[in-house]
Amino acid sequence: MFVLEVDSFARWRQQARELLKRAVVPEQIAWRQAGQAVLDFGAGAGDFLSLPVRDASPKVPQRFLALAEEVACFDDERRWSMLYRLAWRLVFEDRRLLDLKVDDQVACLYRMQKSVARDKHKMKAFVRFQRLETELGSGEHAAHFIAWFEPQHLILPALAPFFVKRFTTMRWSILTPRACAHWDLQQLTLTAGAQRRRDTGDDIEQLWLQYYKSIFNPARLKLKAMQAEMPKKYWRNLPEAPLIGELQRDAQRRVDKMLDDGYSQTPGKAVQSQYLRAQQQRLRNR
Amino acid sequence: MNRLRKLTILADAAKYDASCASSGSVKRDSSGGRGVGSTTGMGICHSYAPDGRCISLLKLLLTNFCIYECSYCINRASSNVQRARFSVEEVVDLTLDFYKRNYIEGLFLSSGIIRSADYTMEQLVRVARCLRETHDFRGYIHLKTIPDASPALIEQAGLYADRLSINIELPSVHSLARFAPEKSLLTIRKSMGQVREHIDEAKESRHRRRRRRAAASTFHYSPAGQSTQMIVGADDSTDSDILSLSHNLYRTYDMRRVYYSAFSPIPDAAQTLPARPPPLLREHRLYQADWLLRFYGFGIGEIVETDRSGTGMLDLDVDPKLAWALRHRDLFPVNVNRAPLETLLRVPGIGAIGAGRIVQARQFSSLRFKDLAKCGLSTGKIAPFVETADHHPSLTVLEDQDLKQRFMRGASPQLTLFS
Ligand code: SF4
Repeated sequence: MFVLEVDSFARWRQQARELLKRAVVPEQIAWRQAGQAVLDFGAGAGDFLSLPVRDASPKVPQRFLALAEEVACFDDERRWSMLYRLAWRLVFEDRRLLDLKVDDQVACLYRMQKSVARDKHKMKAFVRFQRLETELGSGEHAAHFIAWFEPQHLILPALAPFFVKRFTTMRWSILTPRACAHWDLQQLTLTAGAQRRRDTGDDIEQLWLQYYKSIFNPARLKLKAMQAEMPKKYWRNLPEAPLIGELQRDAQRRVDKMLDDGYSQTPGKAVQSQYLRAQQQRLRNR
Repeated sequence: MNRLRKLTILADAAKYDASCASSGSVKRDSSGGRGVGSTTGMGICHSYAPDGRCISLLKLLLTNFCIYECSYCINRASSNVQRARFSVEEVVDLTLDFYKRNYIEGLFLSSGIIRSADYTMEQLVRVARCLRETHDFRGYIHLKTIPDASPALIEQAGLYADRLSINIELPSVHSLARFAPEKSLLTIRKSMGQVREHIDEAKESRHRRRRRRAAASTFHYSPAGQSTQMIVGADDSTDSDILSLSHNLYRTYDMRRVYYSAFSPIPDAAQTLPARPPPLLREHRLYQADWLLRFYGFGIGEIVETDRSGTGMLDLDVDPKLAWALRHRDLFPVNVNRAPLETLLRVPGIGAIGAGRIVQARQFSSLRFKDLAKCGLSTGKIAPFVETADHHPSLTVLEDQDLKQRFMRGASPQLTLFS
């Protein structure tokens, strides 16, 4: 048994390549997340390098590497061994394995990938920045945008470049329980996880909340459709979420009122203007 | 009037436009720029309102003052609604402030018509130009075009916007004259044609450069195309009328989307409107039918069989694909191991993704019924319509007159259409 430590996809990929060159079967390897207590299985990492090389350049499809890179963010320690098992099968069993969607391991790979992709997509959508004033070293003040978010998977390092490209000209930090990303207009820095924080929103947040209320059409209440796309697990970090209950409770009353009030009785002031009526007439006669 | 109050009025006035899409544009980002913003091509919904609609863009009216008298609209001249007007700078600032907090992908701006079509359109273009040129904003901009505006303004609008839309408003000339008397179908269509021409021109010029291997052109005109919206249920047009018109719009103007909007009860409604709004389900069925026409190879005559039932209306009880299948039970069950892709796409419960997976998986080995679940299909729904070596729906199930009832009781069949 070989015990291997990995801390990133790049590291896993490098190790896996060496293992495949030597045709080491998946059952002989225990993958460990770096930084966690390692049980002693006798042989340690590195030992396998003395095994003879059977194939100097084992090949897996490009598509697999793209999938594996996403699955590497999946929040389950078993992901590394599962990825190696599939890589092994792709090299030694069937190169077309990824098309075999009915295979349990392949199906599992796609499920994991889908879960990570969805989490990434939702994080792009639901991160909410707040603007704070921070002091720069020189005593000057500058705007700093801060967000607290709780993704399901370990996706922040993979997603940070997206935010850099979108908010290149802003200083920002995204804090999550297991990693933080900071952009200072020049450089992206990743640091360890942080504690939950929620600053009181800036004045723009008040406008956003009002916008959320105004854009809702009470005649079309569809909570299930909303929750399918914005599941409750994200609500605690969305400033607009606390409004949902109130909007829902009030919806029926608002619709009933519109229907009961019925048709407009007195036309608004505007149409009493002669000028306007003439203009309307001109358009109608075209 | 302060910013909060204006926002309340002008967002409220904008909410009847169904579109909030931020997809389909070119990819760009803010690296090397002076401002913020990126588009991925995919579109992102930053929130969802309790009505289930995606909130992707800051959807606003520049003003809800309007000299037109469209009876279905809350902003029509005779309405007693409170009026407000944003300045160009106010909309620009609000867009940037929201964008920087990651609330939105960009702006969807439209306006009531004040003074003249040209004056109004010019204001809209000024907002877009200021965002792009003064602030180097690289997020998404959707402008609702005023059909009566001059060609020069429409041409400018497309240089700043990712998408332009011109609403067709109603399914027939007759209804337009009745409910939107100041609007003219001819002008609407002319503007749509003009937008299409500009879009095609820009595409063509990019192709030419590519062929000559010249440096990539950055000349884009409304890169996410154009879309339109039709109000459903205000007049007595049938679903078949509506779908035929959409079909024509997709083909003639290369529309990316036709939005259907079941007219909504509004405060202070005009007398000419029906007293009750149409069921929301009707709008949903139209979207499903629209989808089948564009991506599943169905013809209009198959979806709404005008000759048989005579009403020209979609069945509200079940989705249009299932309704078609129930009318053509003799074509089922379909053998999933042998049927071509086009046939698989016609099976209720098998969507484009599911069909693709089946075709891929069956190259390896003959599929059994339980393998279909691994292709992401709901076996309960497809059971009566498919056949595998180990599954033969009994003919009695297919012929059962209660089959439709079974689906109506079961889980919502509409979900399967888009699966
Ligand atoms: S032109 Fe018609 S639809 Fe547009 S805002 Fe004015 S009244 Fe409403």
